[in-house]
Amino acid sequence: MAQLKCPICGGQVSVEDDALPGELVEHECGAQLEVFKKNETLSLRLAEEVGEDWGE
Amino acid sequence: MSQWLPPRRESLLQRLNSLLRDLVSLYTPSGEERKAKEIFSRLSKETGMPLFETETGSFILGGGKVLLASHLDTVPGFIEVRGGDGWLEGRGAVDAKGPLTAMIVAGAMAWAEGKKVTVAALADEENKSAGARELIRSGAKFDHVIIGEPTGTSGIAIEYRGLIHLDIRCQSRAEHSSSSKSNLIAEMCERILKIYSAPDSYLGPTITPTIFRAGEYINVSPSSAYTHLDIRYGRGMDEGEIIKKVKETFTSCEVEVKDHVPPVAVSPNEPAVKAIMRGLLVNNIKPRLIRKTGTSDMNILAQLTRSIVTYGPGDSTMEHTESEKITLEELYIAASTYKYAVDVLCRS
Repeated sequence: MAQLKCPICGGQVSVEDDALPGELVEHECGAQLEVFKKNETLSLRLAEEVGEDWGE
Repeated sequence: MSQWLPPRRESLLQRLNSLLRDLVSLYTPSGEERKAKEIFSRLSKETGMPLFETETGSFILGGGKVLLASHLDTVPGFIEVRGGDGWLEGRGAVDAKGPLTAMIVAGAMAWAEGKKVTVAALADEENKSAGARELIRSGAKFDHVIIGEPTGTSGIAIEYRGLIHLDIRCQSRAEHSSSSKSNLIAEMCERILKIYSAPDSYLGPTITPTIFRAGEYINVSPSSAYTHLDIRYGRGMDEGEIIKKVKETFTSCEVEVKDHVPPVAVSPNEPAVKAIMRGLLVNNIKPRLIRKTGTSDMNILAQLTRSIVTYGPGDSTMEHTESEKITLEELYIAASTYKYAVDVLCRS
């Protein structure tokens, strides 16, 4: 597991070593984060807000 | 069975097209799911997956701790089946025979590789979810559940609102309409307008009157009136408070809860959500997390496991409309995504 920094609260976030860029994770602080690659290393940024689908 | 080992793209597209056409050509509104028995018997023979038909008319293929569950019934109203270059239209093509088709094909491919997977074509989802409730009652256990409903092929639904169905009956004294001092219809309308809440926010509650009946004769003020409220509410809302507010508005009336399904919300960290997410990413599709305003079998099947998610091909704005159209490309992406997810979840 890779230990990354939550960009919102600064806490540690455990992300699987084989996580794919674009993968979304939820930190215990409640932030929803997106995995991305920066200089070939995994990093986290705030994900888009959960969308609303007004279908069934 | 070996014919179901992951085939080339063209033959997979052909298989998806052919199965979806068979399913959509068969008109199966809630209560008429058993008409599909022949199709499922044939699928069972072709794939080697054991078939079990339930009392409610659900069809269960295979067996294992990973469940792919969609529904076989549709809303009423047959739509003539039409197909063109890479697309198919018909009742249920989107909701939910498209997702169901992709699940059956993905499940059959996984089964051919020795993966233990269950594919459920549930009955009655468009009515009272009798198929999903029956599955819970049967005591079946699953570690991971993927629900097949249209989410626009790239959307992953992790939250659904809850619902409450209420029947309200009010009584009054019948009088001659030319001299009556009160009128039950007018009083009921006033109360309905007071409680009505349009669907303009996710948490809601959305309170929608869906049925209203009153009156006995043209020159008699009515002695009884009936209305039905369809209430949807998000996670964190107190259903007891919602019902209390309705009862306070309709004092001296009988308020009966006909159905209640709590909301459901799961974390994106759950294995089933993650597996679908990765399945999309390996197909070069950026996943979107969504929360749906309606209610589905996910609300009920969440009793089985927290590792549950809803995903499927098809544009959800076409659900229940006269134009349910889906592309084979969407089905292909969904089948590949389901297959990837089953592979991952069977290893966990």
